[in-house]
Amino acid sequence: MALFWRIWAAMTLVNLAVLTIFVALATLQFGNINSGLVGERLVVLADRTAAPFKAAARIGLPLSTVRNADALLERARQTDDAILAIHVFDVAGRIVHSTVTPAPTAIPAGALFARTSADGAPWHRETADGFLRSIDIVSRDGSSVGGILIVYPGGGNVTRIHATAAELGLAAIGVLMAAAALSALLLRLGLGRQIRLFEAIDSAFTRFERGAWRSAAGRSPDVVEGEADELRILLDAAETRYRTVGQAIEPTRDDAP
Amino acid sequence: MSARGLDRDGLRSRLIGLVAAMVTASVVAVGAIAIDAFDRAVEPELTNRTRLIGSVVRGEIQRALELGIPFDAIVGLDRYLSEMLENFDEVDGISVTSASGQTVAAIERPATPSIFEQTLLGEMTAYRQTTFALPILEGNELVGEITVEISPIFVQTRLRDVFLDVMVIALVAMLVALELALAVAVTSVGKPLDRVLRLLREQCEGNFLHHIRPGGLSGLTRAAARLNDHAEDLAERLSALPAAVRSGIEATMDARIAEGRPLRLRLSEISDIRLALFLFSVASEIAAAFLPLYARAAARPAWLSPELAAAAPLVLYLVAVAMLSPFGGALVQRFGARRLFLASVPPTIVALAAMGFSDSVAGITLWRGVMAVFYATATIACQEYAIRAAADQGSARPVGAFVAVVYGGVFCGSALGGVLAGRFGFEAAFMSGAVITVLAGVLGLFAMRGRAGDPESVPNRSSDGPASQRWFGVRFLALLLGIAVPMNAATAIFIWYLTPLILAASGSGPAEIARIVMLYYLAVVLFGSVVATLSDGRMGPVPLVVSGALASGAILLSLTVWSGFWAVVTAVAGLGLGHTVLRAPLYALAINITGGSNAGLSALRLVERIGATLGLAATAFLLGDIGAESSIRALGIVVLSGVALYAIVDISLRFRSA
Repeated sequence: MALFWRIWAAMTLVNLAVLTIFVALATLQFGNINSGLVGERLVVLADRTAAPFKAAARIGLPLSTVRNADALLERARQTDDAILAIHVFDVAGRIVHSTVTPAPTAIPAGALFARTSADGAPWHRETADGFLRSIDIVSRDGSSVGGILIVYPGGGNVTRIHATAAELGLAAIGVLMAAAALSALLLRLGLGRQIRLFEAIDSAFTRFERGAWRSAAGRSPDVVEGEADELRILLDAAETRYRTVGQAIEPTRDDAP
Repeated sequence: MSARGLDRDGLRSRLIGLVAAMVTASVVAVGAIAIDAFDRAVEPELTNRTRLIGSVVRGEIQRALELGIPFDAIVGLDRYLSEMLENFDEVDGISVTSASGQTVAAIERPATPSIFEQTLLGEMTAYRQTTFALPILEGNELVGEITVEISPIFVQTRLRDVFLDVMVIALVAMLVALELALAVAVTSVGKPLDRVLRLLREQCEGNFLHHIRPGGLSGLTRAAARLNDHAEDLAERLSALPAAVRSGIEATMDARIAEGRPLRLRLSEISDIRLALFLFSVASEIAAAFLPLYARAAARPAWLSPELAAAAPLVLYLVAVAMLSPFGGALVQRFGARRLFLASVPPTIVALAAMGFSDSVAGITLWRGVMAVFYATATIACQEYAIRAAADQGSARPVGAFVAVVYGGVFCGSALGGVLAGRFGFEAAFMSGAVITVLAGVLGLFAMRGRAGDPESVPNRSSDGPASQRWFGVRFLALLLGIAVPMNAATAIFIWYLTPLILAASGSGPAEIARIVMLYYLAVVLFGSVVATLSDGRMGPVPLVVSGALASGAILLSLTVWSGFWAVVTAVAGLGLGHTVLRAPLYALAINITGGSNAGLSALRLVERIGATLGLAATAFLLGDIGAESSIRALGIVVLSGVALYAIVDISLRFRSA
C-alpha cells in the first residue's frame, strides 16, 4: 500500500500544479479580457465625444472655444455612471474642459508621458487611480492640438478579478479532491497486479522473520513451495548459509588463544 | 518472484493512461467552470458595450429624424453600422427595424464557424443572452428598434489561447508526473528489490563480501538490514581471529567473507539517469521553439542578414556538439559518467542565464555554443551510463530509453519555453531553464551512484580489436551518410530552423510555434519504447531504419504539394513519427555493426552533426534566394537518396556474404 499511496500522492501533486497554473493563467487572461473590453468601449466613447472638438480643430479654432463643451462631455459621461471624469486638454496637457468641478489644471504627468509615447495613436494605461483612456485631436495639417482623456475607476475591475480568481480557486479545489478520489480508485484497479506483487514481497519477508523466531523457539520450519515464494526460499537459503558459516567460525574462536 | 516481475513497461503504459485521464478531466472540468464564471463576470461590461452601441446608433438616427429625414430614407446607415461592428469584436450583427417590423439597415459579421461553434462544446458553454434590443423614439412616438446580436461564444474565443497553453502545460505535467511516478516506483520497490535479490543470491552462494544501501518499502528495508548484518557480523568475527587461524579457515571454508568492512554493492539501472536527464533536456531546450526569433530580433552587425542571425546560434550549437562528440566517450571513460554529468550542470546554468540577458546575436550565439558543449557532455555521459547499466538487455533498449527521455525532455522544454516566453517574456523562460538545471544536477547527484557512473580503469568496450575495425566498413559508412546525416539535417533544418520562421511569417506567436514544434517530439514519447522493443525483437533494426527514413523523406516532399499552417503542422508531426521509427534502431544498428566500440559511436555522433551543421549553414545562406519551399524539397530529395544509397549497399553486401 505504501507504493500505492506514494504514486497517488505524486499524481495528485502534479494535478494540483496543473490546476494552479490553469487558475493563474485563466485569471490573468480574465483581467486582460475585462480591461480590454472596458478599454475598447472607452476608446469608442472618446472618439464619439471628440467629434465636435475635431470639427473645431479642423477649421482652426482652439478647443477651448467649442460651444456647449461641458454639456457634450456630460452627455458622454452619462453613458456610464462609473466614469470618474472626462477631460479635454490642449497640446501642452492643460485641461480646457472637464466634467469635474473644479477642473484640474492639467492631465497627470503619467498621462502626458503615455501620450508622447503613443505618438498620436489612441492609448490606455492602468494607474493607481484607475484606467486612463485617451485619443488625440488633430488639426487640418495633421498636428495634434490636444485630446480627450477618460478616467475610469480600476477598483471594480480588481474586485471582479479577485472574485473570479476566488471562484476558480474554489472550483479547482473541488475538482482536485474529486480527481484525487477517482484516481485512487483507478490506481487501485489499474495497478492492482503491481500492488499485489509488492504486497507479496512484504508478506514473504514477514513470514520469513516469523518463521525464524518460531524455529528459534523449537517450532519446525514452514513448508515453502511454489514460484511465489522464491524470495522466501532465497531468504531461507541465505540464512542457512550464514548460520553454517558462522558456526564454522565459532569453534575456531574458542580455540584461539 | 523477481524484480523483472515488476513489468515496468506495463506500469509505464498504465501510468500514462491514468495520469492523462486525470489531468485532462480536471482541466476540462475547471475550464467549463471558468467559462461560466467569465460569462457571468463580463456580463455587466457586455451590457455597457451594447448600451453604448445602441445609444450611439440611436443618437445618429434621432439626429437625422430631428432634421426631418424619414426613418426609411436615412442613407449610409449600413456603412455606419459596419464601423460599429469593427470596433466591437463580440458583436455578430446589428440591425435597425421600423415599428412595422421592416428592416431599415442590417449588418452581419462574415464569419467562419470556429471549432467551438462546430461542436457541442459551443452550445454547452454558450453565453446566455445573445440579443439586445433598444427602442428608437421620435418625440413621444416609438418609430423603430435597434437589435444587437452578441456572439454566444465570445468568451470562449478569447479563452482559446489559455486553453491551448494549459493543454500544453498539462501534457508537460503528464510527462513530469510519469517520470515522477516511475521514479517513485523504482526507488520504493524496483531498485531496493534488485539490491536485496542480488545480495541474497550472493549469500546463498556463500559470498558475504558485500552490503547494500537499505531502502524501499518496510519489508525490503528490514531484509536489507538483516542481510547486511550477515556480512558485517561474519567479517567482524573473522577479523577478530589471529591471522594464522583466519587464513586456515579461509582455505577450508566454502564461503568468502569480507576483510574488514564489507564493500557497498552499487547496482546501475537505466532508470538512474531518467529524471535527471529528462530535467536537463527540459532546461537546455527551453529555447528550442523561439531561439531563431530571439536571435533574429537581437542586435546584429550590418553585414549579417536576419536569416543568418536566426541560424547562427543553431549552427554554433551543432558545431560545438560535433567538435565534442569524438571525445565524449573518452571523457566518460576518463572521469566517469556521474562526474561528467555533474560537471556539466554549473556551466549550463550560467549559459542559460547569460542567454537570457544577452541582447546581441554574438552574445546569444556564444552562450548557446557554451551550452551546446555541456549539453553534449551531459547527454553523452547519460547515454554511456544507460548503455553500461543495461549491457545485458539488447542494443536498442538503452538507446531507446535514452532517446525517449531526451526527446520527452525536449518536448516539454520547447512547449514550456514557448508558453513562458509568450506570457512572461524570453528572460523568464531562460531563468526557468536555469532553475530546472539546478534540479537536474541535484537529482543526478543522488541517482547516478551506480557503478556505471564510475570511470573505466580498463575500457570494457575497447576502441581497438576486430570489432572496432568494422566501423570503417562500407555498410557503416552508408548508414552514416545515407541515414544518420540526412536525419539530423532534417531535424536541424526543418524543425529547429524553418518551422519557427515559416510559422512566424504566417502570424504565429512563440507559444503557438512551441505547440507545433513539440509535435515532433511527441511521437518518440508515445511510441519510443514500442519501436525499441520491435528493434530488439524479431523484426530487427533494418526494416525500421529504412521505413522510417522513407517516411521522413516522403513527408518533407509532401510540402511541395500543399502548404500553409496545417501542412507545416502535419509535416512536423509526421517527421517526428518517421524519426521515432528510425532513431533508436539506427543507433542499435550502429552498435551491432561496430560491436559497440566507442570509436564507432563517436564517429556516428560526429558525422551526423557535421552533416546537420553543413545542411543548416547551406540553408541559411540560400534561404533568401531559393526560399523555404525549395530548401525543404532539396532536403526531402537528400533524405530519399540517402535511403536508396543505404539500401543498395546493404543488399549488395548481403548478396556478397550469401
